[in-house]
Amino acid sequence: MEEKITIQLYRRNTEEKGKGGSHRLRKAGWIPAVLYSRDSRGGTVELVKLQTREFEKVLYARHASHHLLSLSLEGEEKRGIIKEIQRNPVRNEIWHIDFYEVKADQKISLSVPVVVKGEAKGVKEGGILEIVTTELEIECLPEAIPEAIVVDVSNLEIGDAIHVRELSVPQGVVVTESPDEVVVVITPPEVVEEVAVGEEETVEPKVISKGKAEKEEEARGE
Amino acid sequence: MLIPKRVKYRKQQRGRMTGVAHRGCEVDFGDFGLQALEPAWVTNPQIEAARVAISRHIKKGRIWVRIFPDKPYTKKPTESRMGKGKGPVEGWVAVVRPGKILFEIGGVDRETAMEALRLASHKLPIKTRIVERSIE
Repeated sequence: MEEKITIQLYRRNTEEKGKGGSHRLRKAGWIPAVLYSRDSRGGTVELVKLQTREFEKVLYARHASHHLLSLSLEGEEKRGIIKEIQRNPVRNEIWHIDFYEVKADQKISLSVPVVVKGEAKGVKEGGILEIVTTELEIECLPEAIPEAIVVDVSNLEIGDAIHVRELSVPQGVVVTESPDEVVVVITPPEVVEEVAVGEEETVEPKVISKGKAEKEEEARGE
Repeated sequence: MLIPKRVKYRKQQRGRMTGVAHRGCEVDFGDFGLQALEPAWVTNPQIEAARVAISRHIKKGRIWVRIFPDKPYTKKPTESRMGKGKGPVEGWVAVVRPGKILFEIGGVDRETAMEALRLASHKLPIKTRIVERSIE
């Protein structure tokens, strides 16, 4: 059994709420976050904060986004998952996190990564392995969350694909995506076409709405 | 060269390029990507030059171009007096904000992808960085 990932959460005070408060928190090395559950409809959302450095350690080293977490909120022990992480796309800093509290008997839906196993026959022949679906949306009980969905591609040849319906998932796990969705495909090697300079003719795009002058002309014609 | 097939209006206002990109910021299709670090108007010849640089280097594999030049830009003719309306359309650009993934490559080894994206970055008017797909 894998060791539990524990995240320490603290309640935010009034000065740490809102845009300015969150900004000050981030500057001081904290991440503003919210904690809610299925019963939170109607606005009972807990405003919390957590240490940036500690969280980043578990996020990158242990892939915390796809695990059941143990959330410690000032002495209260809760279990939950990460619903969303908002971040700055340039600096990669975490802006905000949504934690979702779960109960042991309550089914949850979350996304788990797709991990490819083996080397495909088609790849050896020059094909390209394309992972179309990198994360699968699943539904299961919190205790049954798999670390990843493993896809064995060793028997795939060029042009072959594995669909959601062909996946073997652990017991108690239901994939909620469409059964016809492609997970991995071996595409034939692409021959890169070179277009000679000057050969191509640029065609003007077609304007589909009428300008002011055209409308006036049309009105005059009538 | 990339150009829209049809447009609703012939000319557009310039707009602002403040903030960062909120969509198209992650490597979603391939294994490696080229991410913009500055805002800019990237023209269709620049996109084409970068694409050609990548395809010449990787030979096999797959390229995804994640930006499209859908904004027309206008220019007044030289030595013309001010006024008398907006100038004719000069070309097409993609509005790129920091964080946007411009190109993606799949089906090649790491070294080849890195070199191909480095070559492509030299064809673009902005600072970029090479990013890799990762699982959190």
